[in-house]
Amino acid sequence: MFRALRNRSGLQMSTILLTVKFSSSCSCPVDVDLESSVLDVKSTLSKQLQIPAEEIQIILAGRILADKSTIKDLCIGNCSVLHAFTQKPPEFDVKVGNESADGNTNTSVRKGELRYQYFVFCKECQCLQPGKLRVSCQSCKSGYIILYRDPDNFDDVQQRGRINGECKSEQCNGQQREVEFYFKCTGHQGEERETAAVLKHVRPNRKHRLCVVCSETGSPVMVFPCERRHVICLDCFKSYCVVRLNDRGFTENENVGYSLPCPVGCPNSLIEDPHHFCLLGVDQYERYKSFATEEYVLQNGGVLCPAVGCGSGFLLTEASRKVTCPTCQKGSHQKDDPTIDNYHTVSL
Amino acid sequence: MASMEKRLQKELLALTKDPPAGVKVDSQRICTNLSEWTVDLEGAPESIYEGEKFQLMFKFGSRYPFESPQVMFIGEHIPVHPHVYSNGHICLSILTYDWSPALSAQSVCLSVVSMLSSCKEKKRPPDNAFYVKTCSKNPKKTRWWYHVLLNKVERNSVNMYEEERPCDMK
Repeated sequence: MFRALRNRSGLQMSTILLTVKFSSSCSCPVDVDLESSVLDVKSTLSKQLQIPAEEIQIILAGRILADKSTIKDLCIGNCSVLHAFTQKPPEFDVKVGNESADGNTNTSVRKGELRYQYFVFCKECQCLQPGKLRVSCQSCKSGYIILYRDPDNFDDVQQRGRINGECKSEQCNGQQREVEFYFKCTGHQGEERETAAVLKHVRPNRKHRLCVVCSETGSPVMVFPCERRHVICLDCFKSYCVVRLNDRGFTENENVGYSLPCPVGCPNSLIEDPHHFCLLGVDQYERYKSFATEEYVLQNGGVLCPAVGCGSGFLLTEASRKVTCPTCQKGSHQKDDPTIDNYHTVSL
Repeated sequence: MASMEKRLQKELLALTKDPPAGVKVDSQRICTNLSEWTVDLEGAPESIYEGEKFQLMFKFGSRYPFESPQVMFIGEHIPVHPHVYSNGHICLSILTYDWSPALSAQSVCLSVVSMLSSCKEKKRPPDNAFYVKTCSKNPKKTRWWYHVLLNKVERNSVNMYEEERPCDMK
């Protein structure tokens, strides 16, 4: 049997290596075919561990996997880690009825997740990548948790305590626990707990909506949080940001920071997460960060050091006409310099 | 650059097919040079410019639509209007400060037509003589000072790609 590899270009071969963790001390590597079902995985495990296959339950991203679903359906890559626990048959019998019903809902939800794609900015790949949602127990940080309900929107995922689950780890032992969500990049194989910043405004363009700038229908697109949900394609988004950055045309907002509104100018349309500006590339993102900091310092009554080559920003604690820059230690002994004095007089 | 040409093609098509009242484009002439347009305007009926004919010139830079086009009146006949200088320069906020890449040549035409139609008295801006003597040839190089009221009026007149309905998460 040849070991399948999923390389960066996304080329996929027919088998992958999974690790199924039963507890912190017990985990089994399994070679599986992409076409094989969860039941096949369970029977492989049962041979290895000498446990009946019916007693094994496998969890992925907060859900018990249905026997029928195939590895391909689950969209998991090579070297993924799944969590599992064993359940004695009597208990399981009670759940059989639920299991088949659950099995159906699970598969339909799975399809739902496929249909709705998340996008993340991956620091490793340095670009936009499709992301996957993963969950862990807030208390023991493990992935043995089963969600009571699926998240419906970004608030469910991003605000703590909205969704609970039952944690099957040794430590939590079936207790109700708060769920922690995190996102992973699908573009490379990372550590189990490696996370990537989700970009909530980037969505697949399923309805073929027009970019407000170039009126093309690319995908994915940025969807602004304004009432009309204006759409801009990612190329236009980059140009839009860079031109506005050149004009220092971003808006400093108390809640969301240094951001841009929808190009149509709708109210309440600021991009709510600065990670979106990572899409501009390293250089422009650095510029963005320094402009944002300067703007913040100035708006909060701070000053920027006028010494050539310094430019550090600092907030003033007490009103005084004479300050020393903490970075370059200049300022106080240059008091005769009219620019410094003017500058401070204006700022204070 | 390619996206700019594509977008201008689309705008030209839209403006030729469905021009706002009183606006006429000669697309034949524009096709030779897409980055410079001449648009014919006619004073709206029942406005003080009724029957008068003007020419508007658009110049689109390579960063259009992220940067605004250069727009001014040209030709013999420049409208006498409190926001139009006798050299053709127009004081209109969407042409500089309030420009957004979601606006288009069509929305600029609409704004100019509505600016003319809403005027009650034909007169030049008070600083006309001084401005015309000292200004740059490019009106975008002027630092304009807009009245709040004007801003509000112009911001409303937008845009060609409106969405019908908000889209949901799933």
